[in-house]
Amino acid sequence: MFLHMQNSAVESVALFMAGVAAYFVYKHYVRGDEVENAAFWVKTLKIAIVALVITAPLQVIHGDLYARHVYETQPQKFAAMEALWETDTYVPEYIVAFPTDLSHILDPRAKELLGIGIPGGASWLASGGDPQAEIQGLNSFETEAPPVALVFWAFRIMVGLGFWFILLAFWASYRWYRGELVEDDLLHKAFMGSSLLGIVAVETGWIVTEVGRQPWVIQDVMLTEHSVSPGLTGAEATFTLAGFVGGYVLLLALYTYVIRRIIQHGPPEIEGGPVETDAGTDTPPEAEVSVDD
Amino acid sequence: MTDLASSTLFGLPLPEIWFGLVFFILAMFLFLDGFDFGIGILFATREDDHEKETLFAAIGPFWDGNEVWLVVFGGALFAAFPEVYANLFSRYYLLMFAILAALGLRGLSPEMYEEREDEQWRRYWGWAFVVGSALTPFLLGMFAINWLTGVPGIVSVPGVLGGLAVVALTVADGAAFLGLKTRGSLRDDASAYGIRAVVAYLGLVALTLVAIYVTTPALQSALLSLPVIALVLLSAVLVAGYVVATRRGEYLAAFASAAGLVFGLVTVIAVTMFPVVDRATGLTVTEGIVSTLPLNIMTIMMALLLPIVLSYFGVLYSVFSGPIESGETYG
Repeated sequence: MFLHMQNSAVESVALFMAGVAAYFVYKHYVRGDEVENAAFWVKTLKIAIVALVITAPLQVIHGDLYARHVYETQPQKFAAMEALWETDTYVPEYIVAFPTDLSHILDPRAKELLGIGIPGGASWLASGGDPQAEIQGLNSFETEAPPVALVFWAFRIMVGLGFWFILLAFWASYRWYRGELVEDDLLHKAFMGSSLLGIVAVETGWIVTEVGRQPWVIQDVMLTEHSVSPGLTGAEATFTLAGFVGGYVLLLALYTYVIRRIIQHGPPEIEGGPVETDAGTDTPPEAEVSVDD
Repeated sequence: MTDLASSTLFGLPLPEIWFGLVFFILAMFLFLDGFDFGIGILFATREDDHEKETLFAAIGPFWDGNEVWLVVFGGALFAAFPEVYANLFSRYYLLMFAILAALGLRGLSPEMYEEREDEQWRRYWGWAFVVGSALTPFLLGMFAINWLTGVPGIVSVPGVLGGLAVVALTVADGAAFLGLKTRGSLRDDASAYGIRAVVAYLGLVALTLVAIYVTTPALQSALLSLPVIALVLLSAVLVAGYVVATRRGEYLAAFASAAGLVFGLVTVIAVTMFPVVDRATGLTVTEGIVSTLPLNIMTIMMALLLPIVLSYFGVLYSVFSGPIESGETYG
């Protein structure tokens, strides 16, 4: 879990860097607009690709190990991830799942899903190699099931994104290898579009973890409903929840504003020599940046 | 090897030791982050951009390290007296939320201030910095006094007076620290404010104690006990010492007096409260303490880690000692 989160942090930052760098590379080399420090952005893109090539496959590998750990320690969460209500063997892993009925979007059930699945895949994942393994269904637990739809879909979004990032990493490194990195506008657009998807994957991962563990706040020890402070009134809880949401929305807005400014200013001047600039552009970097800090 | 679960380590009175430790950590926080708050409040008196930048530079390397002591305070209270922690944080839920918001504002505003040179932007974040710096010690003071009296609501007369006393104390603390970190008119002005603040503190803390005496009969005999009276007299001596030292330009002595005042105040609270650790529920130190096994493990951890933490604080403060040089900034 610790590794999975650490690695995802590096991976999401790599994606964000790649997205920003791809924007400037695209602007300069594909659209032909003047961009200061174009070479700097190419270098940034390359560093991000290296980070992505390392972290993206690793993320899926220990994600798989982690899923097995979840099956052993929190079987109810695992069942929710697979929307498995009845205990079964040879459980398939749906890569893409289509609900057969609109109601199944909000209430996915493994038996009633039409999808492209790996036969025995979920059993194989949980047991570490045995496609015949039995998986406990949600109905076999004494406690109420977590909100299955949320866990089921969040898990699929996270895993889907994880594989998309691997694809991106290999696509980009292939283009780099062929010397076509700055020309492939489709790749640039894919990176730009994926800038924030790393964060989305992290968030959906946390939804799987925290919603999936319900109704336990400490697995098998304490129920969430028992962990509420006895003196807490509904009004107080609502007030502070609104305060946290409002506060963080405000912080996000501020953060977005500040990051936009930083990106638009480009890299600051480095002491002891100018930043390596592209031969085509010889405008000096904006002076304001160095004064600012 | 002796069984860690059956009796306390070496038969030591660990509940009492942890009671003292929790308050020691609280005092460390109020003293160290106190000067950050005080400098943040004094920020309101500055017009000149360069002077404002100097104030940021004075606290830049320290403030977030100082706030670790608040985290340790919460952690130690939770680990040693879990029931007290749960009770306090539930009872003063909205107060805790307000402290968190004030601390957030205080931490965010210098970062934002530095982002842009725009005058209006800086005026706004400068004020946010002042408000966060003033509100945090005020609310923390309220919390500490409410904890002592066990009052059920958040707003109480002793709490508000105690909050104001802590604000005045942080200004005195910050002014003494600026005595060490700055020069010229900035230092002279800070000293003048520091002297006024420390005198105001003495008055406010006396009023707070009187208010507690009047509103909380259960604490009356404890307030009139010898240690409390001795500590109050000692505080009066330290206030005089602060004033004399500041006038003579002996800022280290003034800073030490401020430290003495903070530790004195926290000790008064602890001594008045003991052996009860949560007045509202009547829980005593021996009733509220965590079970023996975790208590022993925590004690071993603390014995190993506290000297390390104290020594790296020593390194930090000696590396960044001495006045701010021209051109030093927050970042």
